[in-house]
Amino acid sequence: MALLELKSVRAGYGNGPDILTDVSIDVEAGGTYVVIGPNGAGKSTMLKVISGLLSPRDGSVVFEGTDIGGRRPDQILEAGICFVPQDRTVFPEMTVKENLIMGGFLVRDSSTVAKRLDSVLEMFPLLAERSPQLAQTMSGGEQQLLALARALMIQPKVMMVDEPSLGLAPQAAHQIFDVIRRLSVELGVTILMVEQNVRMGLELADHAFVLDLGTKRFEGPSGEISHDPRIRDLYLGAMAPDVDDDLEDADG
Amino acid sequence: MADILQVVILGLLLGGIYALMASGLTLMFGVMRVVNLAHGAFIVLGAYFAYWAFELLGIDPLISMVIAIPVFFAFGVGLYRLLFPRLEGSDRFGEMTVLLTFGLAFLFEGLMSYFFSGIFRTTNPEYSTDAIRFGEFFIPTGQLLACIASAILLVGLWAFLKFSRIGYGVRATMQNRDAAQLVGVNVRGVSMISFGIGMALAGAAGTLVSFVFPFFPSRHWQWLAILLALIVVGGMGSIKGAVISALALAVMSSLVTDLISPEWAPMTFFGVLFLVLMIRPQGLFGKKARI
Repeated sequence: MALLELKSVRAGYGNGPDILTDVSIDVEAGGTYVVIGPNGAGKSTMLKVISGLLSPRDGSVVFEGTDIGGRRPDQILEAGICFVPQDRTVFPEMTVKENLIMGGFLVRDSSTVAKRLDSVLEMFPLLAERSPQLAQTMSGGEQQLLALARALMIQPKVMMVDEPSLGLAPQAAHQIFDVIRRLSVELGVTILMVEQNVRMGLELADHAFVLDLGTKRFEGPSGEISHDPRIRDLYLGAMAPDVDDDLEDADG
Repeated sequence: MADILQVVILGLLLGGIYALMASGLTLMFGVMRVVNLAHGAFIVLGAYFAYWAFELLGIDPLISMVIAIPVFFAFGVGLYRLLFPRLEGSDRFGEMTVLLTFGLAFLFEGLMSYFFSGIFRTTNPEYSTDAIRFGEFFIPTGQLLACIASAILLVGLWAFLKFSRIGYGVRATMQNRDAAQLVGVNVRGVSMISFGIGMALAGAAGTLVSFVFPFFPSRHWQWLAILLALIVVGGMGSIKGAVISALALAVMSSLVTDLISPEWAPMTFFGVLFLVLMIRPQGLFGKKARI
C-alpha cells in the first residue's frame, strides 16, 4: 500500500472554479517525486490540499491508511507530512535559532526540541554559524535552507517542497537541491516536490507526475518521462528549452 | 528649562498609560488582522469595573486591575467564540470585523449609558490626588502608580511573548500567518487567546484610567481615535512601535498643551499621523504590506 494516496481529488479556492478537477496519485515511502506541468496546472494547489491549507471538495487524501483530507494543517503536520511553500516562509523577525525552535512547535517536550535543534544545526553548519541572526537579514538561498531545516524539526515522513529553486541564483539552487537529496538519502524522508526547472527536478526525483488542467496526464520513472516524445513535445520543450540538449548530453 | 522638563515628565506618565491602552489593540491587529473599534469601549468598561469595585466594595483600583485581567480575558475569549468563528474564512473578513466591532462599541456604550448613566466618574483612592515632590518637580502619585503598573504589565506581556510556547505561536502568527500554520500553530486558537489578551489589557488599562482621567460611556471614541493614531504611527501590529509612539506623542501633546494651548493637544496625534503616513506609510516599526 502506498504511504500517501490521492484519490480523485477535486479542489479550488473560495467560490472559484475547480483548480484540481480529478487528481489521483500514489506516493511510496522513501521515494522522491517531482510534479511538473505548465503554469496553472494545479501543482501548488495539490500540495496545499495535502498540507491541509485547502480542503478538498471531493475525493480523499489517504496517509498511512487514514483519510486526512480536510484536517487542519497542524494535525496533518503531526501525522508526519510537512510543507515548505514557494515563498520560503520564514519568520522574518525571529532569529535563525528561534525559527528552528518554531519548527518544533508541535513537539511539546523542550528537551526533545533542544536535541533536534542540535542535530539540525550539526547537519547545517551554515545555520549554526548564523543562529543568532534575524531571518530577514539572510539571502534568499539561506532562507530557503532555513525553511527546509525548520521542517526537519518534526522529523517528517513526507516533505513537500514547492519550487525550491524559485528566484535563486543557479549556484544557490544547486545547493538547495543537494540538501533535498541529502534529506532523502541520509534521513530517508519521502520527497514530493513541485519544480519549474524541469531538468533539475527530473534529475533529482526518481518518479514524476505530469499535471495539466487540474488532472494528472502522465506519470512514470523520471528517465522515461524525460524521454517520452509526447511529453517532451507537449510540456518539457515549451517549459525548458534546454532540456533536450542536457539530457542528450547525459546519454552520451 | 525646568518647566519644560516638568511637562516632559507629565507627558511620559501619560504616555505610559496610553502605551498599555494601545498595546492590546495592536496585538489584536497583529494576530487577527482585526481593527477592534470596540477597544476604547472595553477600556471604559474596565474603568467602570474599578469604579464600582471601589465605590461598593472599597477595593483599591490597583487590586481591581489584577482581578480585571483574568475576568476580561475570559470575557474576551467568550466574545470571540460567540462572534468570530462564523466570520473566519469569509472573503470579506476585514470589512465584516470592522462592522462587527463598530457595532460592539455602540452596544457596550449603550449598555453602560443605560446602567451607569452619562455622569462623569473618577475613582478616588487617596493617592489619586497626592503628588510627590522632589526639587522643583512634582509628580502626581496616581499617574506615577498607573504608569508603573502599566510598565509592569507591558514587561509581563513582552516576557510572555518572548519566552512562552504560546508566545512563540503568537509571534509566529503575527510575522507570517501561513508559515505559522505550516509549523503546526493552530492560528484560530492563537487568535482566540490574543483576543482574550487584548481584552485583558483593555480591562487592566481601564482600571488604571479610572483614577487618572474622568470618564463616561461615550468617552471611548476620543480614546479610540488617539489609540488608532498611535498604532498606525508605531506600525500596525508592532507592540514596540505602539509603546514608543505612545510615549513620544504623549510628550509632544503635553508640550503642545503647555506651549500653545490645550485645544491643540489632540491635534498633535493626528498631525504626526498624517506626517508619518506621508513619509513612511507602514509606520515606524511596521512591515510593508505583503500582497
